[in-house]
Amino acid sequence: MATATSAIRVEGVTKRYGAVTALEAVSLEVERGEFLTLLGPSGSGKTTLLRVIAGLERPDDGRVYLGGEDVTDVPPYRRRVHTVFQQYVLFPHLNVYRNVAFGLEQKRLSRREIERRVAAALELVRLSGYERRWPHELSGGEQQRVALARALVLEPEALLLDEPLAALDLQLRKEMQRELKRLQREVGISFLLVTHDQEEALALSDRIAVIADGRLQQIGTPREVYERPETAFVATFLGAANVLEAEILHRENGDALLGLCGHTVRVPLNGRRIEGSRAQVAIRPEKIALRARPLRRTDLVQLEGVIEECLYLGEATHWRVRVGEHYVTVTEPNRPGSKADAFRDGQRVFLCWTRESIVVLSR
Amino acid sequence: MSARARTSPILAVWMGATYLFLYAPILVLAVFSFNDSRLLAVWRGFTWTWYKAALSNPPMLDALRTSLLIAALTTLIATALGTSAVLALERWRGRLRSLSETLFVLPIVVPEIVVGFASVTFFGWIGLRLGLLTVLIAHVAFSVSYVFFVVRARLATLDPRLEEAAMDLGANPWRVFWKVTLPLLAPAIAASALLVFTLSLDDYVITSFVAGAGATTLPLRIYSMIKTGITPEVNAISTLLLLVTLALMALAFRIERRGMTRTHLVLVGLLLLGLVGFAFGDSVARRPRATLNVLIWSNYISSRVVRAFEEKTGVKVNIETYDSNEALLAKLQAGVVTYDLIVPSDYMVRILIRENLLQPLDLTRLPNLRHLDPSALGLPFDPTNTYSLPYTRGITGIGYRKDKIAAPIGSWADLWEARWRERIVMLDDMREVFGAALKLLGYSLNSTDPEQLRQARDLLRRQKPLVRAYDSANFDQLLLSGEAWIAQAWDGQILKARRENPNIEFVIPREGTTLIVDNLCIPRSAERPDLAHEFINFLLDPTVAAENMNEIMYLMPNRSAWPRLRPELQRHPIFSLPPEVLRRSEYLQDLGPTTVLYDRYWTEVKLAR
Amino acid sequence: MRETNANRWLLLAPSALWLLLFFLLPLGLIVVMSFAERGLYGGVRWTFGLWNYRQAMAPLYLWVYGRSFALAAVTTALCLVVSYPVAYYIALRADPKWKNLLLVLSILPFWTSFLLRTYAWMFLLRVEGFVNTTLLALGVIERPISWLLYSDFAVVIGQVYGELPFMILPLYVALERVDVRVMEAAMDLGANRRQVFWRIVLPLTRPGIITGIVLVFIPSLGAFITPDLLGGAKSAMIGTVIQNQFVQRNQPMGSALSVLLVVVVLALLWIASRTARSRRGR
Repeated sequence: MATATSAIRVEGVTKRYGAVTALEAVSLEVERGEFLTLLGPSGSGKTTLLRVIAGLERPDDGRVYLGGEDVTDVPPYRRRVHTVFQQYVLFPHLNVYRNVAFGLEQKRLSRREIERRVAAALELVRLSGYERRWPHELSGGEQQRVALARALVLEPEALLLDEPLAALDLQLRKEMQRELKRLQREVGISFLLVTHDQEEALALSDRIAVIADGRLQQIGTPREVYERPETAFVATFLGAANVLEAEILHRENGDALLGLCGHTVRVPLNGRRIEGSRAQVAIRPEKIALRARPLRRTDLVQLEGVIEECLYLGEATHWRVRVGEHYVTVTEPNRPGSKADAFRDGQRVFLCWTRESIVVLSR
Repeated sequence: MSARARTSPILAVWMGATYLFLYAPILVLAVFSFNDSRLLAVWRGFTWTWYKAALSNPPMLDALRTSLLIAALTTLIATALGTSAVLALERWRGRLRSLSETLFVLPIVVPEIVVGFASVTFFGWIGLRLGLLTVLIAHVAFSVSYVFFVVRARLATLDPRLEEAAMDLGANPWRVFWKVTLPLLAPAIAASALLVFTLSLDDYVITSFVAGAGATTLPLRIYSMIKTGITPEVNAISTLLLLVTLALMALAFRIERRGMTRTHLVLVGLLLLGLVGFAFGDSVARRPRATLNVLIWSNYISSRVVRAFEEKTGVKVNIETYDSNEALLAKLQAGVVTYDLIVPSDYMVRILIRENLLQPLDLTRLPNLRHLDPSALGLPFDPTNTYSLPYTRGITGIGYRKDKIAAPIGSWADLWEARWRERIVMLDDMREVFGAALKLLGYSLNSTDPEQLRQARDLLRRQKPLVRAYDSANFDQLLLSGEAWIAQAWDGQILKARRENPNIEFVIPREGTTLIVDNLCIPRSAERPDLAHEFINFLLDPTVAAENMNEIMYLMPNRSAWPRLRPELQRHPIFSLPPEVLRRSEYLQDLGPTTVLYDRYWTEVKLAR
Repeated sequence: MRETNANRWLLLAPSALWLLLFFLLPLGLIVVMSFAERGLYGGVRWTFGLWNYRQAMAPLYLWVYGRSFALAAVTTALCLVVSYPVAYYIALRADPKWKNLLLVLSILPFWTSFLLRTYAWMFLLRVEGFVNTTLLALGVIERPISWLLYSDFAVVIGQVYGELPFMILPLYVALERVDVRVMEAAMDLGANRRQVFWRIVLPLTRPGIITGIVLVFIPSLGAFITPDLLGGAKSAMIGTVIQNQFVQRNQPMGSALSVLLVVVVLALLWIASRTARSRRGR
């Protein structure tokens, strides 16, 4: 997958609006043919980063490379990346055909060539026959496809997608997610998608870059990011997590001896470096089991707590358990024979999880 | 953001230049309202003179009052009518709605000149007296549409659920209207009221057609002032009006942005009180015994004389002006107008008599008649002086600047001289202009021979490229300011201008010219013929006549007044007119059916390139 | 209170009657009168024919119509050229802090008297007026320029000055509505600034342009004050000719010219509304 040069490389990009820093020294690479997602809450700077790459914003500091070439000072209309905008932003005064042909008409191409390529692009997004329609006559999904065709027809180095599915309803969103994945495989170029929807990010991406407060938090495959979040933010933004304070008692052989809620636990660090005497750890709620009595196993961490609240959510049940001064959330799928009914509020229970489920976070 | 970034310097310069273009004229105008010089556009020092003059100019203040009154009433009526029409048509679909919309859009798109023309024709046809009422009717007719569209635009943005919510909460339709709909529409109603007030206050074109005696609005007054000469007094009035407008606008914008505060309310209240007080206060305080409406040539009566009569009798004299006999006739025929005194020239008296537009004078009420020179009485157009008494005697000639024109001037041909291209001014008067051409061709200026007229027309069309302007009221000012060097002119105004600038000369062309007697007449439709007689008798008083003559510099056939004339008037060129020139000169006569031909040729001259 | 039809009629009647009686009826009257014949000393002879229209179709009057059209067209074109960058700047480039002020300043002159604004130009353009004296003092010219006032130049300047706000406002409204993101999208798809303007901004503001043209062209076509005051009563425009017919007491001819003017104006409006609506027709 990796070739000599990456499709997009961003180095130390900083962008400020007056006193507000939207991006702080962000560096990132998108490999050729890769589907990379920028995931972050609104206001995190992910859209700004996309606009910097597109050339619609000029960074205050740092460089942007496309295909190995420094394009920091190149205006947007000379960059070989194209964008699918939020709410699609089709040209309201042009029909579908002319919208898709818009970029081609800048280039000196023959009419036949333009017609051929527009037809191919519409075919690609399955909108053949929509040429004479007007943007306002199209549904959201159709407008979305036109926006895709309009950008793809120019055969960009990479396609930038700014929350492309946010305006669609749930059903359509799922469908378009699959469609996007198909398209990306078919055209084989890099996709850089901006979203705040973690599920979308997990489902589509080759890699996910989590961004918050203008800083890159973590980058990795969906599994890496989900299973081994680096920061408390990543852990809680991507899925749910219990973040607990722990004391570092001892370090040896890539393991750490932690003091957690009055217990001493040995936890693998997986190469993660931690400083100081305290650390945060994350445990996913679904990796915790609830028991009425402690199990006689030493490989498990077992804590005693009191059930404060129980929420039945159909496919799973959420428990809120007080452990000392901490609260821990536990999720259990409602399988047949599960003990969802067995516990009630105020009952004393034991929380059990494996040592491997504990992720030590770096601050 | 890069799509918005960096404004190019060209755009910035363009912006600057446009705002300069928008504001520089107004600023220059304002600055020179303080200039201590009547004519020059060169700074000569600071003065308040023009403001004092403007603010103590009774006709101007009257006009302002009239304008405010009409604007206020128009605003009231148009706003009420327009708003109720909007409410009526709300959610009303179908043919009636689109028909009504067409009806409301028409006044906005039909050119003003057509509206004015059609309105005066209509008022004349139904016999409605031209005056305040007709002005009001016309103003409401053209402004109600603006209210309609402004308020409707606002209503369209209102959420109908608001009204439904109010009804749901138990409000009956009346309460919904007063408590919900009206307050929500209020900004639009206020905005449209402001617009209507401004439009009404500013309108010249339509008003100029439909105004009659006593309905002279400020624009009409200013227009005639501009027509009779550019003076810093107009600058002063303009500056005052601009300041008032700017203050109003600033207030309106503040209210729009910050909402109505108590200070605003107080300010608006004070302003309205002030305006109403001004518009009505004066007439309540010293209500005149009666009003005498005089329609007279511009520059044709001394304001001191008018004031003296007002003080003596307690009658208010309202002076309105015209610039040609044809304009006078048009005004009298257009509709029912109630002027009490008019001053038509000789041939026009004849036409007016024939058209039955004059009423006989009661000579017994005019004891000062005896001062009149018998040679000026019993002239052919009214041999028995049943309808007219001579006011002035005049002569048409050529006025010129001898500092600009070295060559001797003495022929109508000098007005065709290519050397003075763009410096020649002709009277804006069909008969006078054709008269000059006919005389130059050696014909009678009362010629009815189509061939001679054709020649005259062709001569005038050849002259047109040389002519700077056609002007009957302002030619003296044009000479004074150097705008023109040579002008076809009436004697009095030139002699008057000469007092200011001795380089101005007046000559009577050797080919012969127009002799003029302008006459005091009372229209048949006059409302106060008694006052008109009183005023005529006053004007014939030798002391008054002398003062009047010394001011307007036109001669009057008032023998008893002659000894008191200024020396320049005693040496009037008319007295030293060579007999052969006098022999070649003529009074204008009514041309009967040939008038139509004149009209056509005159139009052709005016329309020629 | 807007419940019943009777109430609606009551609300509508006053304004509708006012307009029918004092606007539409007069227009109808001059339509009738345009087929009549003038009386010798004014007045109208109610014998009907097409002579007025035949006369109005004579080369002389066609020349006047042509001139009025040309002057109105030049005025409109100048207004458009001057206003577009201004409206563009205010709508899309100006600092939001200044936006309102700039807009207000650009339309404020409209609220002041048209007559006085025309007078301001007379004051500036006279032979011994401000422009000439200043240019002389600066040594730019040796002799005063005489064609400044009482010329077509002066008429066009005065008309542009008077009508400029009516162009700026609709253009501003149209430009304000242009989505910056659409411009960005175009740039992103390879259009440079100039192409963005010609291919996106200009077509999207077409309704505003048409509105502006209508608002400027129609009053300019029937203008009276500027040709009369700044043109020195010698440059013939439709407006002054109609007024002259009134002074000459030739009401039938004046009516015919008025009717023609109204017909032309309505035709132009119809064309404009068709053009504005058919944004797909190409």
